[in-house]
Amino acid sequence: MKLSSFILRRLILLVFVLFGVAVLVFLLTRAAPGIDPIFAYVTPNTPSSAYPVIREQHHLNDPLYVQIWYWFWDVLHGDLGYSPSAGMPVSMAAAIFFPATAELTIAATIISLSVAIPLGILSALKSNKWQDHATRLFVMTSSSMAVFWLGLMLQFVFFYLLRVNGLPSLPPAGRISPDVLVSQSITHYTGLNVLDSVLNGNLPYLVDSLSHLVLPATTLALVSMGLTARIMRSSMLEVLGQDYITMARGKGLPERVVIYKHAFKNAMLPTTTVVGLSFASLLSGAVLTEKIFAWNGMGSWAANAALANDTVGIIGFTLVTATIFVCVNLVVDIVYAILDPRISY
Amino acid sequence: MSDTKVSRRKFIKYAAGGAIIVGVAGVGLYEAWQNGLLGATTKPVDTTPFVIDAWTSIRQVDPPSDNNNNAPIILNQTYEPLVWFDKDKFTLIPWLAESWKASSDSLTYTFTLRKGIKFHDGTDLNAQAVKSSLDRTVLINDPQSAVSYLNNSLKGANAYSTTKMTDADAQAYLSNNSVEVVDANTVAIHLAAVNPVFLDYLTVTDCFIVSPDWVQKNGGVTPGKPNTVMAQQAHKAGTGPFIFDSWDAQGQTAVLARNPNYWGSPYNTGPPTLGKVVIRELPDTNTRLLNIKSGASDLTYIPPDSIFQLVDKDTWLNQGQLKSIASGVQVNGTYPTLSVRYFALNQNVLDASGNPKPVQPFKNIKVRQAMAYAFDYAGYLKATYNNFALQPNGCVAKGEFGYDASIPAPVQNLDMAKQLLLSAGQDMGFSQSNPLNVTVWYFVGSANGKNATTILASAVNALNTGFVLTPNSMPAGAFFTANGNGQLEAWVLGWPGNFTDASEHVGPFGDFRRGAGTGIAIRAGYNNPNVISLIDQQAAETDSTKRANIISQIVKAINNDYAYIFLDQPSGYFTIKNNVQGWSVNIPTNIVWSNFTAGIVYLYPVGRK
Repeated sequence: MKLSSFILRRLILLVFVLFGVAVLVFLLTRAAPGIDPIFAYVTPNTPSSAYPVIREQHHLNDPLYVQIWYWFWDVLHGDLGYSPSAGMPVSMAAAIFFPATAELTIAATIISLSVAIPLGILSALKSNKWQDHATRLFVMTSSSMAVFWLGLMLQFVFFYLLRVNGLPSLPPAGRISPDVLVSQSITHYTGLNVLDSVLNGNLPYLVDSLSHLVLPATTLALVSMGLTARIMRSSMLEVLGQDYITMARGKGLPERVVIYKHAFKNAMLPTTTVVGLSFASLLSGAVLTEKIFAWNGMGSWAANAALANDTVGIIGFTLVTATIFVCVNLVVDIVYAILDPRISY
Repeated sequence: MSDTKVSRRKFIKYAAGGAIIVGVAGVGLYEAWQNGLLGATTKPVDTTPFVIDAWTSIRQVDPPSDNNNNAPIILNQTYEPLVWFDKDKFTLIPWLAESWKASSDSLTYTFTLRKGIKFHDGTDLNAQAVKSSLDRTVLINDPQSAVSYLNNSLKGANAYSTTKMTDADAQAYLSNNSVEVVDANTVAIHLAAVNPVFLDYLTVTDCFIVSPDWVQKNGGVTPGKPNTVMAQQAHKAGTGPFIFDSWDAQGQTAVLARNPNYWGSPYNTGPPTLGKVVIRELPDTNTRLLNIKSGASDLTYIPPDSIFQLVDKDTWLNQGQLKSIASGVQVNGTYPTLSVRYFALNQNVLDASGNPKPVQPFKNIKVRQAMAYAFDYAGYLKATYNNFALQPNGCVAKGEFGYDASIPAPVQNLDMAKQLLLSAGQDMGFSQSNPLNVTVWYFVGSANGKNATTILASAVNALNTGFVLTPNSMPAGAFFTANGNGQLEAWVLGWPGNFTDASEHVGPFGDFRRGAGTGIAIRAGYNNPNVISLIDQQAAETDSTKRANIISQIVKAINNDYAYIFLDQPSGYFTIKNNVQGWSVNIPTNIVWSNFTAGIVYLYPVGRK
């Protein structure tokens, strides 16, 4: 099968996956015992006399299959519904919150891979030596730390302590500084501040955006890099024990070539799976990190929707997340083929 | 003749001097003109952004869809109502209106508008703009907003709110002409019934006046649908001291710019001195704390559980004084908020089918009375709020019209509680050997609810009377559903007022006829016809002295029925930099459903020392 056919098949499957996910989530949100979906649409100010109209407007009096039908009919017409907890339509919420999460995820993944992969390789090459132990200690410690505590500590040290001592500090939260916000203006093409500031050629905005990424991205990276480093180490150890590596060494190839040309690519296969899943997971939002660093993204939206019993928002978020997972898995499969020519589709 | 001649040297000297004077004056006048200060006091513009770290989520920024909750921190600075509160006092004064007059039957209010006021988009404030604004709020009828106040007032609005809100329904409402343009500067508002608090309704953010031209160009008005363009974009559509310059919906950050042409408010204090204001959402308390302590923000709110990083704990708890321990930062307060937290004791607990349960633990007034005597009010206020709260003396919040300070607040008396429970046990058949187990509820995440239920249960269970309370929680969605269906035996919640009138509390707590949405009485199975009659009387009473007297009677009657234990009225305060001056708190717009805070800061005429 050609790669293009494979991609097409997976994209067709995506429609069925989304359909299944939507039905499941819809039923779960409606079937949850004791939860009246009308509370997503009202406040304590809303008089009871308005309840019947609101129920009718949102088809809450109809049987579940009718409610699902109305929902699908709207989706087919491009209307994913209105998320009361976000105060906007679901499509708008996804368009607003996803770029923020994507930017943070990309930055965190870059930091994580830049540290975890070399550490994993080093750990494998120096197996059971002090470098291996030190690496293990570092990644296990960083992975074991509670994300909220780590975030607070990074804020305290790299923002507060530096600032009160008159030293240059990193911003503690948000995506842009107030002074940059009032003095610089850019056109937002993608919603990714770093990319948008590059596209606008605005250096102050770029520098400020990058500085805001440092602490939240580092927090996420530190917590997630442990698994990657450990998988990389074990894969590398496994690959280094293979016959073809022995043969490569026997041929007299330099160790650098043996490791980076022959062993590294094969060791990356399982690591790619883990990185892909971790990337997709981060793309669906990191609630605590987003809250601490005031980085309103998918996680914050989902948490607010769940707390407000906003079923429309929950379903919308779930669909976006399901799409992300399917697409990231697709990319991972394609990367497999690039890494290992034996794999074909 | 020669004496009158001016030498060339003198001429040059005078000419140069004159040119300098004219030049300096010209520059000054030009700057004044640029800043819109001609005719007003000239103040230097502070170009450093004034940063507010907002503590709550601002989900949208269109006045008609606002629930008077979080967006007022932006809307208060950018929009204005017809009437508003006199700074920190609770009296209403004309704002965009120059004056108002009620008809003899109190069914029509006629407002004369101030002349010469312009919206930020350059269009004129006139009667048509007022009509468009109020009608827009009714037509959108966002159930997430506080529109029910207008619906309860304007002729035809309530009927419209129960329709499907089609275009025909909208036309039917508009045909009432409940907001009538009398002439360019006069607007008459026709009410469905006499309403002594109608003017208070107009202070709610839903009633802020918005430029109709701007709305028309940005999403227009669709009956029954929020305007998502206005809701998620900045709009230059108000008349306030600041212009809503930009809105980042993702970061929930607003940038406000000084309105150089501001009309000056009723106090005629000219345009604001702050050049830019940045209001950004920072939900994490610790981050806000680090920001204010390090000088990265100018104003924020730190809740009571973290406030002792800024003020001395002993001085506050022992002397009630806020002594700052953080350099350059002061905590300013305290102010009474309009929220009252309560413990409802349900006299008619229903089962899943809506039928009364066979055992009604709080039907007996002795039990309810015992609960009120058993509760440790002082311990609760200290444990929950670090004393940043008052103990209410009834359902009406201190600061609201009708609050009667002479009504005594309940005090803990465990002996009385025990006697009452032992007596009730004989009536109801419970005893130590045959205990009656009752669950008291709060929703997951409610620290106040957890504290209150635990404190009451500890006290009651220690009496060993056989009446046993068990605190329990459930997720918010399930909690509110069960609560709305009258299924909870007892629960803890808060009820905030949207403006400073007792009707905000006596209705929900006393009027059994209200539905479960806005009525607490029906959920608590509390039905006292005398109280209901008094509520109707106060709602139709236009004499304020008589009305205050009726409200006092209502509060006493509800207290005597022991339907609720009133737990706290949180005190508000703000954390601000020492160099900030001239700010005030708009107490009436203090409504925060999720976490009770101090009010919304009104940033005019704030400046830095």
